[in-house]
Amino acid sequence: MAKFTVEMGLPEMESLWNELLSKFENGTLAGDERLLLKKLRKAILFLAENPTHPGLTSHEIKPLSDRYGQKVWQSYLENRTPAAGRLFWTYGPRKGVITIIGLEPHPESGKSRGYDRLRLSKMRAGEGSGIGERPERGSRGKGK
Amino acid sequence: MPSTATLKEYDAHIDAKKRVTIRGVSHGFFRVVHRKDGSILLKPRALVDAPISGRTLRGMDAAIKNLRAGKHSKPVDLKKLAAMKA
Repeated sequence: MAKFTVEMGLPEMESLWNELLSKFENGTLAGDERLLLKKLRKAILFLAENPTHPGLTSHEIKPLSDRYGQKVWQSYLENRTPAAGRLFWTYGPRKGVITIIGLEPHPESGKSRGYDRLRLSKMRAGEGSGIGERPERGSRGKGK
Repeated sequence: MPSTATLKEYDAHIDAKKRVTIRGVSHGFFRVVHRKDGSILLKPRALVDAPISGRTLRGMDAAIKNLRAGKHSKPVDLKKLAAMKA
């Protein structure tokens, strides 16, 4: 049984999700859309079950948390492969609810390949890894 | 102790596949600098998250704004999703 309810951020994520679902029902999904829906489906089911599922590699993105004044987490659509797609989500608006607010690379962005590259910091040893902390198990909203 | 203090010093050799084994390293990625005098410097690097495109960021700005205004989508039908074969 799912611990969390999953909702989509308005307007972009909801319209993308509805478009994917309607194309799926009509049988008009393109190859890359089919793959995206498959990955999203799996990630959403994992998120609803357990946001700390190892396959999601969920971790906080501090700059985004600072930007929005609430914790924003990132999960991978493919195990340990950030280039395959990343979901951004936050807890809320109610207890036991997760809202997906973004997807990267954006499916309609022609520059998606530009984000596939591995990036390394200019940090020296001992200055931290630059990777955010992992969410605590059930850190907000224990579900229903 | 200064951060550049020597912790270990040993001789290493190139193996048959022209590789050098570095013992007991604490980092997985390095910037490698080859100097004219033959010395090679390894500077530790850490993985950082890939950048976020302006388009995704704008979408997230709108989503957070709407979330705060109490606007949100219907919940994803998880039962339907679980039964779906994409």
